[in-house]
Parts: sequence; structure tokens; C-alpha cells
Amino acid sequence: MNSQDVTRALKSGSFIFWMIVIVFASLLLGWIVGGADSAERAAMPGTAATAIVAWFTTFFLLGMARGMSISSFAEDKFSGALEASLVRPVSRAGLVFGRFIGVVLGVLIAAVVAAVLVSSAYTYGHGGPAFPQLATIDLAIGLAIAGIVMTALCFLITYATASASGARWATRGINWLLFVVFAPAFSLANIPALLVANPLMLPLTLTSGAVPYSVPPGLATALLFGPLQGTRIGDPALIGIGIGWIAATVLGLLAKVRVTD
Amino acid sequence: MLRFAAVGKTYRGGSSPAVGNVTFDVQPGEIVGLVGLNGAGKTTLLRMAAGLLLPSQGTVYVEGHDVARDKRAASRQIGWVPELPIFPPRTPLFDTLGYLAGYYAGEAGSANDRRALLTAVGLGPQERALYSTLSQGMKKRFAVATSMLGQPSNYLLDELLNGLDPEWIRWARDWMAGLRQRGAAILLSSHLLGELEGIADRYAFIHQGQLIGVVPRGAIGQHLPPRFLVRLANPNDAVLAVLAGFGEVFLDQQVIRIEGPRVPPEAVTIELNRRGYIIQEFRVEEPNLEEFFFHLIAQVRAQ
Repeated sequence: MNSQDVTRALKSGSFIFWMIVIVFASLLLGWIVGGADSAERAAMPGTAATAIVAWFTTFFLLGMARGMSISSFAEDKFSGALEASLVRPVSRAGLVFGRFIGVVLGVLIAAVVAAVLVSSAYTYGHGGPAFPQLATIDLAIGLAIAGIVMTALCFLITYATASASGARWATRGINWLLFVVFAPAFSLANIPALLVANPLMLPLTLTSGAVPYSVPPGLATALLFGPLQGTRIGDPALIGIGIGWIAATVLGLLAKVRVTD
Repeated sequence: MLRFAAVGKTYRGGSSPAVGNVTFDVQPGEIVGLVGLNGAGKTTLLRMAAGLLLPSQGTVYVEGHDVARDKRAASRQIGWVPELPIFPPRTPLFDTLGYLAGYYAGEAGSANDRRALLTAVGLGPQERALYSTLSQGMKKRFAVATSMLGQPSNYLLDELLNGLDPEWIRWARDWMAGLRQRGAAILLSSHLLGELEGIADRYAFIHQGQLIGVVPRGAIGQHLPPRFLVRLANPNDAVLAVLAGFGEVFLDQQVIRIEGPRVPPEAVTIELNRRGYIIQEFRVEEPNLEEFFFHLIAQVRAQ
């Protein structure tokens, strides 16, 4: 594995990363510049806005995993630019894993930054440090594991499609299909059994059980904010499934790299 | 040194091998010209040596390293110039060169060395230019600069001269000659057979994926007879009948051409003198690379 490939993959996610930062920073800045006091902030729909933006974090991360998987490997392969790297002193597996690690790192950084911004927005929105201290770490861990799991899935499928079909439209199509299928799944998954069965449903949950949003009761809310409630990312089973999924992906990549020409 | 040992490649879904059982080598300090029609398998062969394709059979060795099993060590000694170079389109040349140099772990020299590479291929003033803004010839020259990263001892040059203007064709010729002098092994594919004739030490002929011959420069005459060219001061219709006994005779703008002569040159001049013809010019012309190539192909087709 070479740092060149890690760096190249990381750079490919910079656009979406900055989108995440800008969206959350704008939210915070809007409240601060708006000068609302704690009572006003509590009365404002700011906490709901925080919840919605936080909810969108999963989409940003999924989009980032999707976009980086395409641009870090598949697009280079289709354009031919990948060969300029592959002809250098690097093994095939080293090149693929370098880019994979780069994508994972990119999503990981975005997940941590998003977690910090979400918790900051929540804290400020509630007029004080009502947000449980450990919840930020939980949120970061939850987003990170979810992000890596999503990335692993996206990268593996994108790599496999790009290598097997050699067709840009097929690779992009499947890549987008992943996004389209999993994005609603994130918001609709409200059944713990489903969460356990599918490690992709991990994001935005707290060990403490607390949810950093003002979520009014009701069926629509339950559907909308489903993944945010009821599941603890601290559950060893869930973490185990997440790590298992990542390991399976890495093994899948290894097997694929060996037979791919 | 490059060595192809019974190398073959069949693409997925391909009905027949793109390359089959090819064995030859390129020695240090040698330029081997790879000659073949479109689709003959030249690029496939070069791409296998570059580590971009895995052979379906056989092994490509670079300095003794199996390209498939020991790619890092093999690639360290390979400089590759593709027929149609593709690099990140929206990245400045100097940055792309720096990025690719990173693969050599410090062996690709300093930033100044990379600037010198760009200057050597005439792209010094364009170091901040985006790759997508370059002309075809400039892209080729940039590919040449990237091939020199890490100073490899083996070069795979796929249609290097295509897209270059006469000035840079001359430069490329001198560049290859310089590499050869420093002991590099160069495998150069080209459709410009006249250019290959001027630079290659040996020719490897490939047709429909099969190696149909490897011939040193200057040895073509041993495989294909020369032709005689005769210009007479007093030609007439009868002379063609006289010369027909020596080979296949053609008249082309006052020059009589005897193809595939069955006698030595002296036999022709003696006979012409004996019959009173005045010889203004008599030349023995060796067959060129193109003629030899088509001769080989004709032989294969006849089989």
C-alpha cells in the first residue's frame, strides 16, 4: 500500500466533506449571529432543524462513501489514468487497498467532524451543555462505524462492477442504486431486529439512549427519525457485526483483486 | 533486460488468444522494434510487460523479476509510454509528476530533478499547465517524462513517435539512442517502419498474436533476396526478355527492376555487356523492413 493512493482517494472526497462542514457550520453560525438567547432558542424550531440536519448527515456520509468510491478508483480506471499509477512500483492489491483506506479515512474524518458539529449545534440549540458529554463520542463512534460500513459496501461493489463490467454506466448505475436503496432505508429502519440483522443501519445512535433532538411523538416522526432512536451503538453485537462486515469486505476485495485483470 | 517466456493472453470472452506463446528477449543496450498490423497483439504484449495485464500463460521477466508475482520490483525497472497517454486531466503537469514520483520512495529525485525532466521534454514552461490543455504531441512528451521517473533500465514504448512533430521525432530518436548507450533495454512498437529501421537493433514481428520472426538489423537480406536496379543508355524492348531469365523483371520510368534474382549481380552485367547494352547505373538494393514484414506475413498466410 502506498501513501500516494491514500492521498489521492482522500482528495476525491474533499468536496462532500466541505459540504458537511459548511452545512453544519452555517447552522451554528446562524444561531450565533442571530443573537437568540436561550429562551428564544428553546422556542425556535432550531432543535428540530438540528435534528433534520443531523439526520441528513447519514445521507452526506453515504453520498461521500458513494462519491469517493467512484472517483477514487472507478473513474480513474475508466479514464485510463489509473494505469499511470499501476505501472509504477506498486502491487495491484496495494493500489486498491491504498485507495480503499483513503476513502475510509475520508468518511471517518467527515463522520467525526459531523458528530462534533451536530452535538455543538444541539448544545447551543438547548441553551447550554445539556447534551451528555459521552454522547458526542458515541455519536462519533456510531457515525464512524456506520460510515466505514457504508464505505466498505460502496467500494467493494463499485470496484467489483468497474472491474467486471468495464462499463462506466453500469458502475455509476449500481453505485447510485446503492445510495437510492440505502438512503430511505436509513430513515425507515425503525425495527431493532432489522438494525441487528443489517449492520448498515447503525448511524446516529447513542449508548446512553438519549437522542440529541427534539423529536415530537407520532408515527411520521417515528418513521422519519427511526434510526435515531432505540438502538445503542455501544451494543457489542452491533459493533461486532459492523467490524465483521468491514472484515468481510476487505477479504472480498482481496479475493477480487487476485482474480481481476 | 526484458524476457518474454511463452507468454500468452486470452481476453475474457475472446474466441482466440490475443497473444499466444511468445518467446523473445530484449538485451541491455538494445532496441527491439515490435512490428505488426493493427490488432496483432503488440500493445497487449507491452501491457503485460508493464504489469497492466496479467498473462494467461507464460511469464514476463523484467531484470529477472516475474511481473505478475513480483510486480513492485519489476515495475521499478520499467518506463512505459502508452500509445495514448492518459493522466489526471485537471492537474498541473508538475503536480502529476510529483504524485507519480511518490511511488518511487525518494528514488525519483528532488523537485528540481522533476523540473529537469519536464525541461528535457520541452515542457518546462508548461509545468503549471493542466494536462487536458496539452496537444497530442505534448501529452506524449509528458508521458516520456513520467517514464524516466526513477531512471528505470527497461523501456516499453508503444507508438512513441505517433503524434510527435519532426523536431521531436528526432529528439525521441536521440533520446532512445542515449538510453541504449547507457545500457537500457528498449522495446519499441511502431507502424512507422522507416523510423524503426533507423533505430532498432532487432525486429520482432508479430502477426495475429504469434511471433513470426525475430531478425537483427542488417540480416533481412539473408532471409529475402535483394533486387537489382539497372539503368541503360540504350534500352530497347528486347532487353526485358533478356533479363527475364534472371528474375522477375519490371520497367519503372527507365529503370529496370529485377526482383528475386536467381543469379549474382555480375552475371547480369556480363550478359548486358555481351549484348552491347551500355550500363549507366547498376544497384543492388536490399529489401527494406516493410517488404520483409509483408514477405513474412505472406509466408504465414500461405501456411
